[in-house]
Amino acid sequence: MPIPAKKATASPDPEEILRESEQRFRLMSDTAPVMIWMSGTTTLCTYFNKVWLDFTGRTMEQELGNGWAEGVHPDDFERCLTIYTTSFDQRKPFSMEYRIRRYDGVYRWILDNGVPRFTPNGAFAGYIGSGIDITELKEANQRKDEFISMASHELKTPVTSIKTFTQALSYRFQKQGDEECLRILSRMDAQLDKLTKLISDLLDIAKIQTGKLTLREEAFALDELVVEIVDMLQGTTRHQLLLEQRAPVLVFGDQDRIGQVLINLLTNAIMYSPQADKVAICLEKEQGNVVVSVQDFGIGIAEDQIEKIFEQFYQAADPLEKTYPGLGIGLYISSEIIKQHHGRIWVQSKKGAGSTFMFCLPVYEESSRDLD
Amino acid sequence: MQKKKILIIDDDPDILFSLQILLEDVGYAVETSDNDDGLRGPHDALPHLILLDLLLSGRDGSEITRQLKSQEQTRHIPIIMFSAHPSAGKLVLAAGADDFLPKPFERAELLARIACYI
Repeated sequence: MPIPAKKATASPDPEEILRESEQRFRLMSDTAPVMIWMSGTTTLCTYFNKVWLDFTGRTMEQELGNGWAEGVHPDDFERCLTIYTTSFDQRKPFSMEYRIRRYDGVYRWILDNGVPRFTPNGAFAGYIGSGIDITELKEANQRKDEFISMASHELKTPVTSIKTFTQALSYRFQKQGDEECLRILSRMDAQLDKLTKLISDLLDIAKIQTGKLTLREEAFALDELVVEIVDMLQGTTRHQLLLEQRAPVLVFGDQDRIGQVLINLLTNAIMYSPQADKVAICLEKEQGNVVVSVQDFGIGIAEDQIEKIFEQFYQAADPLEKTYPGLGIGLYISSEIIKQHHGRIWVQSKKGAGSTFMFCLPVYEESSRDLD
Repeated sequence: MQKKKILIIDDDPDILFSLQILLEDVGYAVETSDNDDGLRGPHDALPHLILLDLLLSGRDGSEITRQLKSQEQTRHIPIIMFSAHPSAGKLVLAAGADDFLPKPFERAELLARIACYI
């Protein structure tokens, strides 16, 4: 009797493959130490992993759909929902921080990242996301911020009274015509200004490390800021600060911080070109970016030093020339500011012929639409 | 002519002392304090201008500003607030202060600002 031959290479049962794949996903999802969720093509959630459910202490049925939103902190609810739905409409990934109620009733800060997913033929299939508890991190940053605030106040207080005393004495010696004492007091005042700047710079570094460097975010006119800063600094130097080219663009970010970068580059340009009489500034729009350049005609930077110049504590110290004063933090802080604004900062220089420092920032969308 | 009187409120005695010298040298009458008690007196004892620190020992200077600006008898007194925080400007103006100066002060700027108001 013929024995029915077994199929030698059985084509895999599609249902079996699917089951196995699903099982693999569930295992990974439930054992990875993150909270995982999924939503379908409407914003309603269709899945929460075991970690999520254990964290909230709720059942899958309670969390599905919009049930999960019941656990979001009332102060974060609006913002959370807005970010989620706007990203959803644009099919864009999102990252947000909000508080969610833990199984014990305590609200914890979650960092939630969601990405849109698509079927193999490109159809939108919903979102998948993951969250982690960042409460400890946030509290530590909060404490650091408070320390920074207090430190700023405490350090600047004695400097304030010393500076006021110095300036009060200057006035008295001026009335008496005592040139020598005036000179001494003027040096004291200059050193106090340096000390004040160092305190600010050191605190900026602390802020960089906790990611709190930029405070405000808004659209602003970059060329107007440049004009404002050039006007302000022109009064402090005999160098001619020439704004040779303008570009009427908007950028998005912290106006004070970008202003800080401009002041840093301009004061460096002035300081490192004592024999020159001008500094040239240009703005140029270039494919969705605006490039700002500050050119000085001073001592320049040696080729082997160019890479290091944006590092912390770098300082020009040519043994044949005077050491230029400063902690060397300015360019480091400037480069961090530009980085946080999704820009780039770089320099072209030739020893003895001067340097051109340049940074670029993305042009703010709305503006470029208007210009077209 | 009667001297213009400035009241300085700060919790650091040397800031009070140094500002007093600087301001008296150019002809102002100066009173110093670490609190706002001196403002509850009769009208002719009130200062023409107040210099007020944002952060007094554990206390919020802008609360004092709000209070003074809400009271009939003190509303008219210009208040210049100062702080070691360079970006406290918006905060103090929102509290009702007339002006803001960052610490440490530049003598010329301090005097110019005061002159704007008295």
